[in-house]
Amino acid sequence: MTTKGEKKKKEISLDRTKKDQITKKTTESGFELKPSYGPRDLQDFVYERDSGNDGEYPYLRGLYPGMYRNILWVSAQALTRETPEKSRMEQEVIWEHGAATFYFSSGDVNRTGLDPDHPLAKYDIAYSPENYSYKRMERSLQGIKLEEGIYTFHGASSQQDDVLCVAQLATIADLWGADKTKIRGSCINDPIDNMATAFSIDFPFEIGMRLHGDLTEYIVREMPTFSPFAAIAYDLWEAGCNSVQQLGIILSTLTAYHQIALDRGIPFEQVGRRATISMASSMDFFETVCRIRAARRMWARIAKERFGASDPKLCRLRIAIRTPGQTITRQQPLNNIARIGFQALAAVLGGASAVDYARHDEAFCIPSEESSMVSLALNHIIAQETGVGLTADPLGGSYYVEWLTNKLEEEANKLMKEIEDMGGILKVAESGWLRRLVNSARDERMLALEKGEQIQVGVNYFRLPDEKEPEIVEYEFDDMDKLQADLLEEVRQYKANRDIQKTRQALLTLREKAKTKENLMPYIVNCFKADATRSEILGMIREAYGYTYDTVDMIERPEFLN
Amino acid sequence: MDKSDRKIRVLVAKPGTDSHYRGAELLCQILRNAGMEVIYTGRYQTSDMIVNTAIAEDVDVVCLSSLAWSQEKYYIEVANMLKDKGSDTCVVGGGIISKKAIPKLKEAGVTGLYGPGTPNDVIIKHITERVKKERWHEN
Repeated sequence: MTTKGEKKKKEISLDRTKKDQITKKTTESGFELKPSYGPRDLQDFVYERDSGNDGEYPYLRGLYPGMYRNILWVSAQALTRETPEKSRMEQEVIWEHGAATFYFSSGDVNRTGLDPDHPLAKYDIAYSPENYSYKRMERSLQGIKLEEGIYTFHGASSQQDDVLCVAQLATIADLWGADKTKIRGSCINDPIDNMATAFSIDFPFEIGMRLHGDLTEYIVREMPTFSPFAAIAYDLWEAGCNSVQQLGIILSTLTAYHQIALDRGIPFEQVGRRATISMASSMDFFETVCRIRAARRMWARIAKERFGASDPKLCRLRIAIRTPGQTITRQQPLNNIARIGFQALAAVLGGASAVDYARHDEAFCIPSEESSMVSLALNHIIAQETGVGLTADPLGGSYYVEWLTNKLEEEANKLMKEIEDMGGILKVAESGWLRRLVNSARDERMLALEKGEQIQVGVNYFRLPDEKEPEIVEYEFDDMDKLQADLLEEVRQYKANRDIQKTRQALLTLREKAKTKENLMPYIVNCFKADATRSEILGMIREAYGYTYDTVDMIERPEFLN
Repeated sequence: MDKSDRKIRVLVAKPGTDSHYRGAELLCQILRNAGMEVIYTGRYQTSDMIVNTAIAEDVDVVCLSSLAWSQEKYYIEVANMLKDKGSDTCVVGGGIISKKAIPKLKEAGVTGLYGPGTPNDVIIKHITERVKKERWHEN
């Protein structure tokens, strides 16, 4: 009788015991989970106090009644091409396919604060638009009515890049006679992030913080429909931070920026009504959903309790989510489409205000047009086919989801308290504590991947032999040698043909003003109008603070400024 | 020195304006944990700076790390400059590397080039084998 079964067992000798189990038993933040959750896990949960309906304080269930039924999330895509014209053409293609914003993504040279003719830049130029002067940005905006667009400056984690980008847009608006008060958009403007993740730590923090305040004040005054800053946790995730660390750091940061605005005499209403953060979704689906929900509720409470916001509308936190490039694998690249899809779905179920999609070929090259189309289609599939947007906060009220949201908030509050006790987020950014926290998070994540405790399918789990890996068509750049030579010639001509006395005067004035407490933004705009370049502008500000002219200490101040 | 005590000396270098530093810093840790002596240049290096450091420190291998497309030019330039100066220091490269660039890089003597998702032991084994063969002339 049993012989048949035993025989069969012998023939099928595959041991499934290991493969049929979930390898990782904890959440991204390391919480040990119970097999299931029930009402006992939410004994202290009071709906009116801790949740409220969608569109009601503390906005756990979303910023607006009915949420996406009335307003879909904004869909965005990072984009950069070799020239302003080509970036614009590509931009138009993705607009036609439903992306909403004009996305300016600076390349390495811009981000580092160098002009294309800098010796360190020589091989890196012309892979992105290289807006060293406002005229380059102007070329990508031709024919657009500025008041109609939504502009996203995501200075690739370089805060001084955001300052210069907004100044260039303001310059163009002035010269075109556009109404700056109607220009919509956002920038990151987060120097604390620069210190935490060290993406552009080479720019002095004290200058970063001054420019942060100047830019905030300028935007509030001159461009009131533009968001002056968006504290960014995206880089923190990429650097290895879990949900608790992201929430603790980002809400401490956002609080500090609002306090700085307040200290500059800007009423809370004027910045608080645009409060924005940017975060990554991650492969931990429920931590992503709950992290977004927790962030909204935490900020609502901070706005009310700490800043005394009387109108609940001033307690609304907009959350932009980007699906992270770090989860994109080079192995079995089509799997990434599924990853991006799950991450975007988590963002939407958490009630994000905007979702920005990675592309599945990011581990090979800058994204091709084809991969951009796939990611935009993912957005439309979620929005139009799945039906998840038909009712607000569809996961709200789940025992597990509410428990995890509470747990994240509770742990993040402990971290915020710890930061506060050490003198605040600015202190720990400056002292290096924040950087050490982030670095050890990075090491832990890498160790978990290396040990196979964190699974990446195709990388450390069911990896294919290299020869079985599918081919990906890499984006092909135009003739780079020619583009680089042309750009250098253009820069040479631009610098040779400008009214050098006018340029000099504007730059020297900026350096003088940088020694005072005056807001530098109008002077930076004046410099651009006088045909100054990015690195000249940064050089003057650096010198006013006693630093060398050049960010990377390789070149001297140009002669005309002596 | 006893052969078994000899440590591989490594220079991890980041050429150009690429700011993605995490790969380079992690590589330093991985190689140190594998018993190598590691020097890190930090970011924003020109080929000249990298070659000068490599020679001054008499390293066995230069590990170049960049996620920017300029890596093809920088990696080849560093390898050629080292050869021109009579150095037998090995050059290996990492990052997101264009498939088209790989044959050109290998021709210039830049090897490794594995890309994201490479297990640590593959990197360690490759460096150790090349150094022992080409620099230490062990069998």
